Amino acid sequence: MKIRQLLLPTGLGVALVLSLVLSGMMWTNPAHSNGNSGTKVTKTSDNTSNATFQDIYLPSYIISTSKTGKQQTLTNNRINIVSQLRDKMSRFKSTGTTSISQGSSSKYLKQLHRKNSLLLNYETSMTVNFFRKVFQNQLKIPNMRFNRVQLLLNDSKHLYLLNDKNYHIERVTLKGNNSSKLKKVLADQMVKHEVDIKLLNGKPLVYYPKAVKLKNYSFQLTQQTETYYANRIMTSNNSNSVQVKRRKNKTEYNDRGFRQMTVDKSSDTVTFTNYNSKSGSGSFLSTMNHAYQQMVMVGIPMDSIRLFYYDSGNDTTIFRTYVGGVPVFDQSGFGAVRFSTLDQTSYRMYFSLDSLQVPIPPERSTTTLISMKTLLTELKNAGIKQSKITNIKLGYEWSRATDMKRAVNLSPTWYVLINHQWETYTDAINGD
Amino acid sequence: MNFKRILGIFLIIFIAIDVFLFVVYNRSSVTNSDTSSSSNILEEMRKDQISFSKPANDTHEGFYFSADNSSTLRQQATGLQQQSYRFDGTELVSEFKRSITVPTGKTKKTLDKVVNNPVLVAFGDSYSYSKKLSTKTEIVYVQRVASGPVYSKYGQIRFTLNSERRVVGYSQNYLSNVKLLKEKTKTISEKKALTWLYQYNELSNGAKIDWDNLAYTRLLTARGQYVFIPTWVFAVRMSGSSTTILKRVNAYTGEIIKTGSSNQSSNSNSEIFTIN
Repeated sequence: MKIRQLLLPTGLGVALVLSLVLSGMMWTNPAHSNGNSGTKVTKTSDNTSNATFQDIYLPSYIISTSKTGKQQTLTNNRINIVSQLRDKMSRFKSTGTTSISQGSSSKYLKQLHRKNSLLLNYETSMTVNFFRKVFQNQLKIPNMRFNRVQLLLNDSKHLYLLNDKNYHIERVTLKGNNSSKLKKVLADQMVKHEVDIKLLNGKPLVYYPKAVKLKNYSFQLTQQTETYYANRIMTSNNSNSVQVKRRKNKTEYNDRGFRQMTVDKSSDTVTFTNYNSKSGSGSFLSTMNHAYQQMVMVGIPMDSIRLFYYDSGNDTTIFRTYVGGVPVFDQSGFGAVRFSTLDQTSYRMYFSLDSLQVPIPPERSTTTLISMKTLLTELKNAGIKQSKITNIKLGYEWSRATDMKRAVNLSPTWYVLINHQWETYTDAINGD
Repeated sequence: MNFKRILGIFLIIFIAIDVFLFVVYNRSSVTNSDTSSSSNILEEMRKDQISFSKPANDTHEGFYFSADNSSTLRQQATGLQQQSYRFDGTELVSEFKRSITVPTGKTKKTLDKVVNNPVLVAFGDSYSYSKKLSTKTEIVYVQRVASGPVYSKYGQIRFTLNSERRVVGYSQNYLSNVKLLKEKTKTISEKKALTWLYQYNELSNGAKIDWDNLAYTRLLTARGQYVFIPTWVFAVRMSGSSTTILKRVNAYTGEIIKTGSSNQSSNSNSEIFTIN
């Protein structure tokens, strides 16, 4: 009788301990920590794309300021300068930081014009931890936000971290920097465009005082099939019960659990929602890492995509295709990939079936764009108030080639950001 | 509700949790074990009796470039001496007035002198001897573009060797108008390329890989220009066969470049050639 009375509590105890052990095993074993997606990542690391985390999160453009204060953007047709610079910057170590100024736009603009310097620029603000991972350096300093890194060519002991948002200038004392190596990278033949950083509505703007001549590009349009993605992301472990619904222009895949994919045939875009993917601590670095890993898992070609925009408010990251250091617009409504974290365990990703992988000879070799001075006058004449313009950028406009099938022409033009919307300056002037 | 019943309910719940956790744990270990890495694939290949030398794991760099066989060679050829030449399309076919003896073991030395002499061969300095592509009856010089060899008939010089080891003439194609289409890009490693070749079933049991090399291959023609990409080229000898087939793997994407009729439209690639 006594044994019977003990049976229930002992059984419960055993079951409780067993559940603790099992969940402990799942947590401690790294292979299982991410559930399904973790194993998928290792599987696909062997796959098509060579782009690494370090590649897609490189700074998007470089501006050099000469000894006389002349500013130029630098690109190179043969090599990727930013990745070359990154290799040289990986030896950086920090010994301390000093806050130089904050809140003063005039001091900030002066710093941006510092003679004999090099600016590495991001489109969006990032953190020290992120920078450390992308450049694989040893900067152990407080995790502040910034969007520009300024290297001094005549002072290898310091670099500056600059934040456009609050005009913060932070000076970092460095070890392991060799400015002659940096200069060696810059000594290579470059494509240079004269610029001048100015403030537009209080925000730094890369101003092109003269007409700009840029290369045209053409690419063969590589279109990934719907089945490729369906096989990769919808047939996860043991779930052979994927529900497929075909509508007029859309196909919906649902694994009746965690994953859902919709392919829109009219725009060749895919919306993928994953309800079973831990996003990490929520820091900028972990968000970017999560986005990268999920793009690898999905199998998106990442050879030429770069971080373009990040909004912490709605936790949305936008990646664009970059060609010759210039972003491509109009690939789809959202860039190359749009990644939104929904909550701690789920995200939604929008991407295009189209990608640009194989370059082909362009129809015309170059296009000359009007100077920004002319551009601002034309916008003004069209009745667009300067206060409404948030940003202006060089961009490539994506259009289908007419002389051959399955080819895309990329022609350079000015893109204007008005009301959170990027549009070509001609569209802005015509009021489309 | 008494205490016993509560214990009973809890016991059932925990047993259910245990079963669930066990199933989940087991399932993820199963998928994990079939995750195959490159080295496992190489082992599998050995089991299939495919012979190859240990592939390197380093990545390299290469370019996309466009070029054509335009009239540049035709213009340059007017300065050629001691030979009579004609053009077969864009290809220069020439016959030496006095044939050249090529002693065994001195092929490169003898022909380098010929190729580097601008009155004997036009643009000769942009070609280099390729031991790998040369055979007993044909000596191949490949054009070097964008710091790599071109393994394509569009950028080669071929000397025909007769039975007395004498070179009577040559044929030449020259890639001009070279334009880099994109900045330097990293390629996949030799090891990865080899595993892709195997995974795409391009290597049957008992096949032997004689050599492999990173070289440019024509991918397509667009707007009158050939577009070249870096490829891993593998010289494969199938078991029981004496012919060597060149198999090409796109060194950026790992795709196998299909040759001949299996590729559709005007962009079909006729680059396949065999070495006897």
